[in-house]
Amino acid sequence: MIIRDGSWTLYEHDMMTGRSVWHYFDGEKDVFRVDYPVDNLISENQDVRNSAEKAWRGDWHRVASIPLNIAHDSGIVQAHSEGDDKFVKRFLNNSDNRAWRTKEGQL
Amino acid sequence: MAALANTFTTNQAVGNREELSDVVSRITPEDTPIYSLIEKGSTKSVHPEWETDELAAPAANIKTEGDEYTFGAISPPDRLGNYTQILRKDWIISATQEVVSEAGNVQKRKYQKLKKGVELRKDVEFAIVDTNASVGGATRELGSLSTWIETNVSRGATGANGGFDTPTGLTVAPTNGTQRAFTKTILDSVMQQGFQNGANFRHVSASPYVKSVFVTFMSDSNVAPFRYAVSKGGERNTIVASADYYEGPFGTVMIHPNRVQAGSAGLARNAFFIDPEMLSFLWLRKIQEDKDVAKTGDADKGVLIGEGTLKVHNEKGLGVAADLFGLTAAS
Repeated sequence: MIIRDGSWTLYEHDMMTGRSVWHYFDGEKDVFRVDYPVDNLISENQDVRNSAEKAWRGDWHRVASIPLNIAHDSGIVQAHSEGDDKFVKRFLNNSDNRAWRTKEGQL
Repeated sequence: MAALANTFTTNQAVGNREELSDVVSRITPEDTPIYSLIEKGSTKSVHPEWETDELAAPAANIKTEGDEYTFGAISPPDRLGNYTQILRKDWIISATQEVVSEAGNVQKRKYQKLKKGVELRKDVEFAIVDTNASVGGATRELGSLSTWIETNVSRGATGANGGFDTPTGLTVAPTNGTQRAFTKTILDSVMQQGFQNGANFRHVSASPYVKSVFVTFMSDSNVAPFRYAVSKGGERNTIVASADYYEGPFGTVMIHPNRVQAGSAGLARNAFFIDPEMLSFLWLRKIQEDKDVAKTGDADKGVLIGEGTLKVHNEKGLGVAADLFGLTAAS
């Protein structure tokens, strides 16, 4: 049985984590798309955010935890690699992306 | 209670249908964090070489009035190189197996080709993160990341750097030291060395365990207790892979869990600090299917092959925290 989602075909599915990998051949390249539930990460981030201290004390601060595919698709990984800190900070300060933040405050 | 005599059970039944899940789950994720991060280029030879030059260290520069000139010697740049490595995956399926109906359709050509392609990409990641020194000749091997790095390092007791050996033109594998737990001191030490040597670390690739240790480095009250929230219905009680963004004294870094590095203790013991500008992967032959494999017999053969190498532009821009407990608190 082949499971399809539009032109995507299910390539693998992990029952434990709900992670599924979809495949699509665009005529030239094989493209893989990874879907996974992020409820856990969102609720964990929220917990961490609530318990994190407001003050910026100490050396290292975890500012955000972003699911890998969102980090890659939104361009934040590339922007960070290229040193485009403005883009990264704008992304992290954007209230739309609050779910990924693990510490309050303006970056 | 045992079943009553003559109860006809499934053990005796003959025609019961098998039930086999149609969705095949494999827990070998195809993520290749470092390979995905770095730039991909091309090479035209099996031994691409490049040069690195550096400024002299700053020093007091005070001259006398009316002084006669003297001329210093020029030190030539370092000439570095790496060898390409041939990576291949192959399969052969009988023509009958190709057409029979099968649950999951895993043993079919199309699926095998896909799967081998994904595996090959992960092998590239493996070649980057393992500790294989470069080798020339017919069975060429690319020098992995950890064999290059010798400047921004933190190693366990008795551990020693490898590095590029100019006379032989090959990299040398580092010597493993005593394993230790990853600590904030180790992190800060590598970050500081990098900062002083002009590196601009932006990414850290480490085994998922090392990444989880990272979280505990935050100053006291910032340490969020490690919680595994149970989501709706109690299902999917596993944290998904996420990139963590950290602000620290020597810059901001993004930490990526690297599942290829979790493959064995030998790979997990290194955490790599990466400036993506200092690293690229050069392909001599991109991964592609060899379509000219001769057909013999009643079977279908397939070969995927690629050849490429890792280019370390300047190892001073990279760092490694080696000899860490990378899988558990004691391994």
